[in-house]
Amino acid sequence: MAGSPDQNGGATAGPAGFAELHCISNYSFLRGASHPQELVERAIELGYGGLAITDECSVAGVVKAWQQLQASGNPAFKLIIGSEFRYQDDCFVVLATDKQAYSELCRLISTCRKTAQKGEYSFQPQSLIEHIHRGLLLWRPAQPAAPYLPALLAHFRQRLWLLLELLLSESDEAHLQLVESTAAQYRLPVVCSSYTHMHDRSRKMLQDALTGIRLNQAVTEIKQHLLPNAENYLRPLRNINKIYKPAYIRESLAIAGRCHFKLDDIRYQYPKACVPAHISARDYLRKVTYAGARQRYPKGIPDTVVSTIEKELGIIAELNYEYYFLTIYDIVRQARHMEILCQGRGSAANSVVCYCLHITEVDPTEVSLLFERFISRRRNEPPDIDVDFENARREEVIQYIYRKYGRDHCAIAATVITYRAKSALRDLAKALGINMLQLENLIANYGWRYRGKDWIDEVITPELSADNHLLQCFKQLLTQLVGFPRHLSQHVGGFVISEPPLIDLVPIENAAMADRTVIQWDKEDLEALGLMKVDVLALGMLTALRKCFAYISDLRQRPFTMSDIEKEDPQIYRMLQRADTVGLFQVESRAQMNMLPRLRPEKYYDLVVQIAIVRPGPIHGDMVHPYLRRKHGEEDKDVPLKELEPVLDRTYGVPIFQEQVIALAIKGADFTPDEAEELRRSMASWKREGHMHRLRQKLTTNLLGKGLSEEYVERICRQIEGFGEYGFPESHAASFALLAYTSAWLKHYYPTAFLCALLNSQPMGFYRPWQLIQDARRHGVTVLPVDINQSDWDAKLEPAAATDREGALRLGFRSVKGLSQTVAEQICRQRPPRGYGSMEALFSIAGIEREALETLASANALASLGGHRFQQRWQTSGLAFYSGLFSGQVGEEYQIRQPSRTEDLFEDHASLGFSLGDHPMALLRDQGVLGDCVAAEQLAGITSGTELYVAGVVVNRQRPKTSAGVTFLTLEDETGSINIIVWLQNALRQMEELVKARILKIYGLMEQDRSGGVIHVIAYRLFDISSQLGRFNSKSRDFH
Amino acid sequence: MNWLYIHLPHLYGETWLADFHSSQPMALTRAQGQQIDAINPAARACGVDIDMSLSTAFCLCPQLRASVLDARRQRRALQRAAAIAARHCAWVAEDPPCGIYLEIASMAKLLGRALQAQSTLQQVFQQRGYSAVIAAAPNPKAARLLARAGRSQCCDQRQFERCLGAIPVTALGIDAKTELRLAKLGLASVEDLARLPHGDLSYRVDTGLALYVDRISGRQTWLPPPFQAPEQFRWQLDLEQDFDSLEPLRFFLAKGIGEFCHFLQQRCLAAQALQLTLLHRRRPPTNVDVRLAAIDNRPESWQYMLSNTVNRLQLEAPIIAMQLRASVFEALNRQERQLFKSVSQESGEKKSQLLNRLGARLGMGRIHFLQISTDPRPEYQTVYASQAAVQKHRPPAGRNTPLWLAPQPLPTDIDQYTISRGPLRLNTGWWDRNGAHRDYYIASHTTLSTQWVFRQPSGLWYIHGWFA
Repeated sequence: MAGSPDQNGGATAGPAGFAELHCISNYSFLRGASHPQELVERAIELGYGGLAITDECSVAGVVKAWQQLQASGNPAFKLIIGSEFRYQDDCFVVLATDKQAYSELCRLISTCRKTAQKGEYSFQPQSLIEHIHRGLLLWRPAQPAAPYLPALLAHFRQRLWLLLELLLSESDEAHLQLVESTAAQYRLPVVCSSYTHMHDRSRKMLQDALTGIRLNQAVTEIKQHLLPNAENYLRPLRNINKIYKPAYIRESLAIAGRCHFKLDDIRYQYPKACVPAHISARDYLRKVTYAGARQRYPKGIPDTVVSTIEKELGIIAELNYEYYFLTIYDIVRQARHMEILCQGRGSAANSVVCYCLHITEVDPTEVSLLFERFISRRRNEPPDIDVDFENARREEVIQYIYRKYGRDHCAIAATVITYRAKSALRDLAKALGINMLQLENLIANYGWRYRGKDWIDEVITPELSADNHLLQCFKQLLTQLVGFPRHLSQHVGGFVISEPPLIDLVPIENAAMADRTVIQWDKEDLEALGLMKVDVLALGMLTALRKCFAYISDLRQRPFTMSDIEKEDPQIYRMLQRADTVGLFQVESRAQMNMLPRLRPEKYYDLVVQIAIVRPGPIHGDMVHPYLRRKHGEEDKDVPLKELEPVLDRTYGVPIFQEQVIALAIKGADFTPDEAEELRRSMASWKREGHMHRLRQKLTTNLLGKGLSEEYVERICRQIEGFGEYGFPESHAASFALLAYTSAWLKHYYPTAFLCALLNSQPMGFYRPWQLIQDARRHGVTVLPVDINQSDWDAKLEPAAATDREGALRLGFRSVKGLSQTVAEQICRQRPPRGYGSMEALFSIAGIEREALETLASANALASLGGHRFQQRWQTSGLAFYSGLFSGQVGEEYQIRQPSRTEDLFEDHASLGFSLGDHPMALLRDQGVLGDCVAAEQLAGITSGTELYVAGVVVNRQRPKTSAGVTFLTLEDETGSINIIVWLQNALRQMEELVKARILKIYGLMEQDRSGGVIHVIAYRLFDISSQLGRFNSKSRDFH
Repeated sequence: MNWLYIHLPHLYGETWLADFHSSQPMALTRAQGQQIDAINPAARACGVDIDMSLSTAFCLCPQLRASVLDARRQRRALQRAAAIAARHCAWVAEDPPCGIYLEIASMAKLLGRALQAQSTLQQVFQQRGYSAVIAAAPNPKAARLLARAGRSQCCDQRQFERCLGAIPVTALGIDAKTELRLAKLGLASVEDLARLPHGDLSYRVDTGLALYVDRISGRQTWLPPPFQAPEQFRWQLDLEQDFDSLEPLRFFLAKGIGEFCHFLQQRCLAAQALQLTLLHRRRPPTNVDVRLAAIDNRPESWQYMLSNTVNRLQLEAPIIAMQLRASVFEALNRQERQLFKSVSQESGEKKSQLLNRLGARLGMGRIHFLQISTDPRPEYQTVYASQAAVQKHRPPAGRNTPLWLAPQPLPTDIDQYTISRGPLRLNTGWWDRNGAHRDYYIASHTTLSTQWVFRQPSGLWYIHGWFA
């Protein structure tokens, strides 16, 4: 009797081991049903001699598998890198034997990927012959005599095997016959495999669901595409021995024995193009560092700085990081050469060398930052330098990198998009045939921000389906699917550059954007393998600052740079204390504006704290109020342990920054540096069970043991949890604080130039042009309308005659919605010296379209030609007629009525997004609609605790993660903005008004804090008065 | 006032959702979309609006019941409403998705003047549960505009002109882009448009809009294509006396069948179902479905089936009248219209005859067609279907599975077998409660029969089939 492969006993004696050589992980997206780590772990557990991760035309999952192998500490186990390629019904598996074979594989994958659409590949068996010269080939045939077989046999002599995959299905017999007859005919060896899709049989359900998701149908509709059984798993050796002949099993071990390549063999080499010839990198770095230091410290480099530079250079030399620093120096220098503003941030701000190389702008001697946080001898990984460039011109920097280092030598890192709760819910529901409308209702009404551990049970309710069994399956699948990779995307700016062609280290494929290429590994993979990554990030504020500097330089007739900005100007801090921060960098949000009058920054370091304090970490940890009390002397500074004094002294004993919490763990809770590093890396999983649980336990026990209160330790834990949501280190805050201060200085001293720069850098920042202009006008800036005879594409300054004062701001054509830059430039180019005198003159602009002129008429940009906008629009609408066949005729002068005040307002908002004329609330106030509503500017004069009415255009709706269901609204009237707080109960009761209204009238309680700075109204009743202004349409920034 | 227009804003909901006017908030969304297309008054009261995104709607009204609007059902709903209107007016025209034009000038004698016609139809539609807005105008497009703008009160020329002029351009139902162009010229009402120099509207704004305005104002004549009511067959015979048995009435029924087949043949149609209704004096009527195995239009087929159906019928009360009704027809295939029949046609006919005979004896509900499903579990691979259909998925050739499958797997003792092939493993069907985890084997029984047996993970063995 032939027994089942699972049955005990009767197993035929076979080879002692087996190596699975055809195994796909979940990086064969929506096909593989196990993580690479799970596959490696299970293969080791089962006593396999080796495992090949052979994802389809990809090596995206191999680093994870390799890391798992490292962690398991099993040097005898062989992890083989390979890839699967499908051609018609045939399947080819290429395995890398050594470094060169691995490079060949990477090149083959890159070729297949680059010739296809993003996410797909195009493969011909001929490519194997072109690319694979050392690698091994396994072939699962689908037909007896494939036309390409002779060529393959000749090329892959002694390197070609037939792949036998018996999966206890109906096709086994025919497959066995085909493989064995082909083997006999061509004298080819046979190797067996389980064509593994999952580490364990229990993942069969998920594998079926993934097939459903891939084919975008319910599993019950595509049963013919599902695997008939769960045999594509890592079978126990007993089963393998029972199914296959010993010779086939032995062959797997023989092949594994020929594959010597390990990911450790990848020796990353830094690009050398950044160092001039005839000088060593070490000397060159020293030279440029000291040259930079002399610029930074023109009065002489202080001794402390020299010793720090020497210390840093020592560590850099020891770890051979010179090329890394010099590469970044090269990019930053080139950006400066191209007049692109840039600034490094992140942990690099801890380094004096970075400061001297002009990579960062924060003088580390002024802020106590730790160089060890940046690079340390112990951590064997490259430092991480993030550099922000002007967002509008970052592409130029990227293309420079491609040009300088070569397209084969650099590419952008990947980001693995994984399933999160909502995407998993939606995709699984579709695959299980669950009512999607009902699911959308659940998703819309579930409080995602406040979900706990049992969210699956709370979301999957009987309302979704009457079939309880299906719901149970849904729950089980959901747990498994969350965290599964879905597809590869490109990292926001992580560039990988290498000296040898990068394509030999990792496959490169096309990104969705033109002229961009992306590798198959993500940030963590690169870190694990020690590959250098430079973050070339984009920052809108840098664009605005550069433009603003240029305007001021024009105005003053001499260059103006960042160094011209006076440091620690008390006037700037007074402005910040008033929360007069609309348009500034980082400190302009509603939450920051609320904090500014409370924290009252007086110096640069206060601003660093200000930026970091309104974040989930300090808020969750309840550290904000103790800090404020101590800063203002209402409470004594209190450092819980003496050894923590150097760490916590600068923040009055209250841990604010991520670095402080880590230092607290080391010094207070006796964490080893490794544990502290583990803590930093895995803060996101603090809440979850597992290894973090162990760290949490240790932190709690040790801190309690040192006499800290239970309440304090609990707060520290909550703070770590908060950092997990949004980590914000001190070094980041230090760089950002510089930009925040610079933007504040510019706004204070050059408000018109600053507004001009902001408008010309849109879209960026928290506020829309409308709010920026309103705010600037309240600060006395004169804003002139878009004018056909005065405006350029960009907004510009119209200086007051014969002074270097700012004068007025002239809006540019870029403010006109729907007008293209090409047309606007055409208008400017052809503009006669005295301007366009009439409508007919506009008609004669070469290549002008009727739509462009109509758009300008509606934006009231033709006002200087006489008449009102309706009439001008009427006239321009006849352009096609009167400039065509009937050009000789004079159009009939039909008189269109003049727009009303309200219509002018509508048109301004529709065409420009703002109005220089009436504010909608002023209009309503004049019409008597607002009754006894208090204007924003009057609120400060009213006693706190008064119940009153306010009204305004809704400009912002926010429900922050840190607040328990509170919705914050910002209303704007003609005098300023009003902060509204809506408590959860009220929000639920008046959801319609809260969600839909464009103009709100609110009855509520006015509250003002003791400092007199923060005023808000707690809403009792909301009245939607949008209908009072019919067509008025302003866009609010909602729940971002 | 020559035309009426009936606007049915809730047509879909009122036709297909029984509790549309209940307090349960309901919304209909466009297929594949997240935008709301129609809502009931309860949903509106909760703040839900048309064109709102579904997630906002759910946020405002968690108890909202949403369903997808089916385009086919939407067309049928309008057809139904048009058929109702067609009972009162000779020239009715559909205006998808929810409007109907009615020409009333030529029906003045029957319907009275516009006002009367308007109120009659209002009543008719109201009685059938529709919320209708009806307006009268001298031409169809103007009537449409008035109805859609909710102006149903005008009934003479002067009122009409005043009413029309005051209608805002937003009620024209034109595309958003054109509407915006008008707003940017300060043109707010139909009167503003009508006052513009002739031709300017066309080249300055939109040619289609100019034509539309001309049709509304009557400067251009436009007539909607008349509605063709779907074919229906009805035959009724009022009996002069009460009959306790159908036996004496067979002759009349045969006449009715003759008329039915004549009706079909004249139109090159065929039908599969016919309803016989027997009316009684003080009891609700008895409805009997007469159904063939396949579509047919020959008297002998229908006669045979009706006769056998009548034979099985037990009358519960005397009959005073009989009706035959059919409303679902299919066009005959081109082949069937040929003079000489092919062999396959003849065999097809014989098959239908046989099925009809079986159906007549056993009842059509007891005849099933076998279909092959794609389910990997053997017991689900053959399914019953009420209609024969083309097989989409064919099983692979050369399968090692028996033709004779046990209705239920039978427990067996494996010691009586010698296994010759296997295992073939099945691990599937988790999506229902009947998941299969089996290892199948082909085994010879001591009785020398070859059987298909399987083993469950529990270790128990079952017979699932027999090989020939």
